[in-house]
Order: sequence, then structure tokens, then C-alpha cells
Amino acid sequence: MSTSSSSSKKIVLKSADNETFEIDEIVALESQAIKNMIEDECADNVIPLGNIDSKTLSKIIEYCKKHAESPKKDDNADIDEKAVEDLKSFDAEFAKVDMPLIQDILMAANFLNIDNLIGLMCRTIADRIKGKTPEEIRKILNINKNDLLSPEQEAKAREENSWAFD
Amino acid sequence: MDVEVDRLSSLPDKLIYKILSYVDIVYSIRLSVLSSRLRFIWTSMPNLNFGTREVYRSSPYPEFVNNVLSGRNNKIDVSSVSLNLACGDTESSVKRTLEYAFSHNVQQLTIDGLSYILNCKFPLSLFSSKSLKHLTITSTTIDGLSYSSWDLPALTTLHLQFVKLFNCSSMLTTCHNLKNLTLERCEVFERESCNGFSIINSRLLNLTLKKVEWHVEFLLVDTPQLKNLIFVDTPQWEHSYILNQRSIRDMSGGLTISARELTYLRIKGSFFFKLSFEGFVEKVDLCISSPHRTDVHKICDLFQCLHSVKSLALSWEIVELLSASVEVISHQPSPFASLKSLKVYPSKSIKKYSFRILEDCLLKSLEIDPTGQLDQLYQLKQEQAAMEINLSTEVKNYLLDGSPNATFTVVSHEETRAIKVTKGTQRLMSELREHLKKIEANIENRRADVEQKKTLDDSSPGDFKMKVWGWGGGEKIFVTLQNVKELLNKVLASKRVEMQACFYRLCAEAETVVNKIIDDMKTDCDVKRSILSGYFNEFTSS
Repeated sequence: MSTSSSSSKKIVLKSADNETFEIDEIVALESQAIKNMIEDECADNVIPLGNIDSKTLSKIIEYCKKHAESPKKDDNADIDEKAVEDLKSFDAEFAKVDMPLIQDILMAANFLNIDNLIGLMCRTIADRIKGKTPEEIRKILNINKNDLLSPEQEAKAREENSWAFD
Repeated sequence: MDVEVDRLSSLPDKLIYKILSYVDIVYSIRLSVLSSRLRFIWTSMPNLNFGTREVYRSSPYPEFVNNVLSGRNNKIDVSSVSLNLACGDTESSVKRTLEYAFSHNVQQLTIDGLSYILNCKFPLSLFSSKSLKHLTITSTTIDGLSYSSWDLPALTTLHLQFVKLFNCSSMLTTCHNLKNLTLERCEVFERESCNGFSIINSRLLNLTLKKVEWHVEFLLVDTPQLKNLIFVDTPQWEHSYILNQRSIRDMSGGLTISARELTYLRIKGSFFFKLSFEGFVEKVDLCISSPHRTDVHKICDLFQCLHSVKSLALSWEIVELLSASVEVISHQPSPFASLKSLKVYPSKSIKKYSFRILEDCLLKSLEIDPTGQLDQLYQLKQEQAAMEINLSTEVKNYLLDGSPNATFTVVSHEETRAIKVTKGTQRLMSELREHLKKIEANIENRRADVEQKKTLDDSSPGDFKMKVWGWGGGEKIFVTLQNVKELLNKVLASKRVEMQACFYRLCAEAETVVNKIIDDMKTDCDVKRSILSGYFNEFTSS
């Protein structure tokens, strides 16, 4: 549990579009990268995050807040089942955003090194491509049009791996 | 809007692998036609997920596995492999996969369904790996005697589900680095001469024994480092369906635990059984739902062994039994010297499985069920009179005299029920959400399949039926939503607003899906009309 918010130490994060977010240190510690910065004492009061926009950052903070105040799994096997169920339903709701935002969150989570969030976003993307054809997946993931295979290359790839297609 | 940004391709390989590790490897291979970045990504994937079967149509499974292994970059190590076997798989393809995995330093291995391969007992002889850390095996038979040993020095986590274990005591002892062991719904046998199952392991930290059938006379857990021990006996109601199922209380020797460092011990079951404990433990949860009158001495003896406990939770039924046996406890000293908290809670409340029925059956239509299994659900629709939990002074003195400063909490029936209802309702909602997702995916696949037949020559008898395609399972959507709406009145007050909001979103999702189904039915009608009128045209034209 986080201590009362008025007395605990605060950290300020600054997004790429110069919005600042003041959060409890305990929330910031969900990020292994920020934790390392704080431990190495190379974090000023304001941590600039030049590659994360405010929309993505506020989602990430929402996630870290919830997870910071939830009891940790490995501390004790006697974690409240309810807390686990609660966190699960939070995660499920949290992931209901559009694909561009999911990929932004994933990249930011990777930068900030928030393991659980990386896993959640990867699972979410995986769920959305499950059962889909390559063409549908291309649309879902918005794969770069400049990087497309030529028709000949594509045919070759299909031929080579024909055993994996219907 | 920056919709043109291709975020996936800017992800490091590590993350692309991670995303693809959650889906069957067939998807990674199919992605090869999408872009040059993804062209060969599958050949260097460290995760081999052969998890789902239904996607393979063009080649048989063993052949598919073979193609993956030979097409893969042989220089790259494998970090995880998951295999899901079914009828038609061959022993040789399983062996080939395992050999490949072990020779590529696999760390995590999950195998489901070995029992489908006729005559294939678990190939322990293959199991020699210096790298394997996590092993999960579902449904097979392992005979510890037929193989000299398994050599898994790095193994830290072993999870066995629906596995028949013959003579496996010594096998578990030889896993020197094992930290987490779970046996779930397994059956345990030992040869006559030793007659008992022993888990003797010096490094083990977490042990979970859940609904195991014990065909032995005693169970010994000797684990000096163990931190957490969870023992769940097969519940009473399941016994009535399965003959000859043996539970722990049928063992003459019972359960003996020797663990000096234990932090948490949880014992859950319908009945009490012979249990002895040696060591120290901080936190104990004893949840026995139907203790027998004669068990009171055993319980008091156990309490004496647990004298060091700091936090104790007891099912209400145990306390009730103590209250009914004042003559026994009044002669005993209070067993606990350092108790900080004591919690009493009712163990009988609505079970998970009862909620399943609420996907098909309206709560308000439920009648009292003669088998008693749905009684608690039935009571949910009634306004039940509050059940009081009162503790007699004798019991209170017996439990708390040794530790006068301990806090004492009683969890009411209402609260327990509300917690269960909250969890059950959350589960109902998330299952409906999954169901909707599946319907949606199917609608999309079906739309892709729609092709219009043009002439009578191409027609099949099915075309002449005046039926439109409809989606079964609509009942499930409406029944679940109706039930959830009713249950929301009974969930924990602190969760209600949040769950209500979640419910409204779910309703909106359901409406979208139902509208899609109806649109499809309309399209179906139109297609049918044009096909059939085409036939009529053919009849009348020369």
C-alpha cells in the first residue's frame, strides 16, 4: 500500500509535449528505468521523457498507480484472490484502446522498462492478430507500405512456406 | 492523425518475438509475406509455440513441426517450447522436437496431451538438460522406476497436471534446484514396499498440492527451506461422482510436514485428516468445511504444533466444532503464544462452478435444486436472513488467552457472499466478452467466405432450403446480461459503481455484435433471393 499521498516523496515526469505529471515515488518505481535513475541519484526532481507524449504517459501512470497499490504476488502466496481478480479486470479494461495507442504504450513501457505492462501490451496485440489472415494483420498492425515485398518476393515467400498456409 | 506510422516495424526484435510468442508459430510464418522486416523473423524466434492445432490444414501436424524445425535458423537458441499433442501425433515427432529443444538450450517447456500418443509413457530418458528451468506437463503417465533418473540440474519450477505418477518420490529428490513444485489433480502411486510418497527436497520454496488422488498410505513433506505450502483436498462433492477416488483422509499415515522456515500454510478441504507438523510457521489458514465431531482432538493437537503462529485464519465450521466441544478445550492451555491476528470466516459460500450455470439459465428462474449444489445460488435471489456468527467465551479464551493483544476479526456470511458474487460476476462478464469476440471473429471470417453461386449446376441441395444463417448463442448473451444486471445489486458496495460502468460498456459491445449478426442475416436473405431468382430465370429461359 502506498503511504498517505501528502507525506510521500513526489516525482515529476515531463512528456514530449511538455506536460508535467506529479506522481508518488512509489508509483514511479514501477518503472525499472526510473528506479535505476533514482537509485543512482541521477534523477533530478523533474524527469524529462522526450519520446513519450502526454496521452501515452497519462495511460502509463494510470497503470503504474493501480499496480503500485496492489499487493505484490511474489511476496506471499497468501495474496488476496480478490486483489488478483481485481487487477485482472483492471488490465482487461486498460487494454481496450486502439492499436496505435497500444503500440505507443508498448514502446514507452519498453523504454521505461515496466515488465508487466510490456507483457500486457504484447498479449493484447497477440489477441488481436489471432485467427486473422496476413492481409487482415497487415491492416491491424498498419505495417509500413514502404517495406512491402514485391509481388514476386511475396509469391516466393508464400511458396516457400506453403505448408503453413491453408 | 498519424495513422501512417508503422509502429510495429520500429519495435525491437525482442518485442516482436514476445508478441508472437503468445500466438501459434504458424502466424509468425504467415507474417513472412507482409514485409521485408517480417520476411524471416520466424526463423530466429526463440519461442516455439505449437500451442493451437486447429490452424493447420494443409499439412499434418508432425510434418508441420518438422518443417518449422528444419526451416528455423539452427544457430539460434530456443528459450521456450510449448507442445499441444492430439490424436495422430507420433512419438517420433515429439522426440524430435524435444531433442531439438534440449540441444538448443531450452529453458521453458510446456507439454500437453502426451497421453494421446498410444503407448507413449512420458519419455523420461529424453529428459536430460542443463538449461531447462521451467517444465509444465499435462496428462501423461510418469513411472520413476522405468528410467534411471532424469537429469535436470537447472530445473526450478515443475508443474504437473492430470499426471499419473508412479514411484516418483526419488525423482523429485534428485531435482536439486527445484524451488516451485505443483501437483494438480494428479494421481500418486508408489510400489508396495515403500507405500508412501515423500517430497524430500532441500531447496524447495513453494509447494502446492491441489486435489491430488493419493493411492498411498502416507505423505511426507520434508523441506527445510519451504516458505509456502498449500494443500487442497479433493472436495466432498466431487467424490460423489467419482468412485474409488482416494483423498488424504483415506491414508492411514496422513500428512507429515517438516518445515523449519515456513511462512504460510494453507489447508483446505471438506474433512479433517491426520496431520502432523514440525517446525515454525507464521501464517496459517485452516479451511475445513465439514469437520467431524471426533476430529476435535486432532485439531487441538495440531494447534499445539502451530504454537508459533502469528496470523491464524479458521473456517467458521472449525470454531463451531470447538464451541460444541467445550469439555475438550476447557482442560487445554491456550495453544498460541505469539498470535497477532485471528480471523474467522465462513467457508461455505457460492462456488465457482455454480456461477457457470448463469450463462445458460436465468437466476430468477432457478428452483431449489435437489442435489443441493445450486442452493446457494437459489438463496441469492431470496433475501436471506442474516446469519450471526457468535463465539462462545470458552472458545475465545482457548484461542486467545495465550496472546491477549491479538486482533480478532469475524468475517460475516454477507461479506463472504458479496466477495464471491463480485468475483463470479466479474468472471461472467469477462467470459461474455470473450464469447462476443469469438462471434465477431467468426462473422468476419464468414463475410470473407461469402461467394454467390450463379447457376443451377453449381448449386447444392442446401441452397434450396429457405433458411437464413443465424448465430446460435444469442441466448447466452441475453441470459448472461440479465443475470449480471441482477447480480450487480449484490456485489461489494465498493465495487458496484466500477462494475456498473463495465456492465454498460459490455451491453454496448453486445449490441454492436447482435446488430452485426442481424445485418448478416439480412445480407443472407438478399443473397438467397438473388441466387434463387437466378434459378427461376434459368427455368424459364430456353
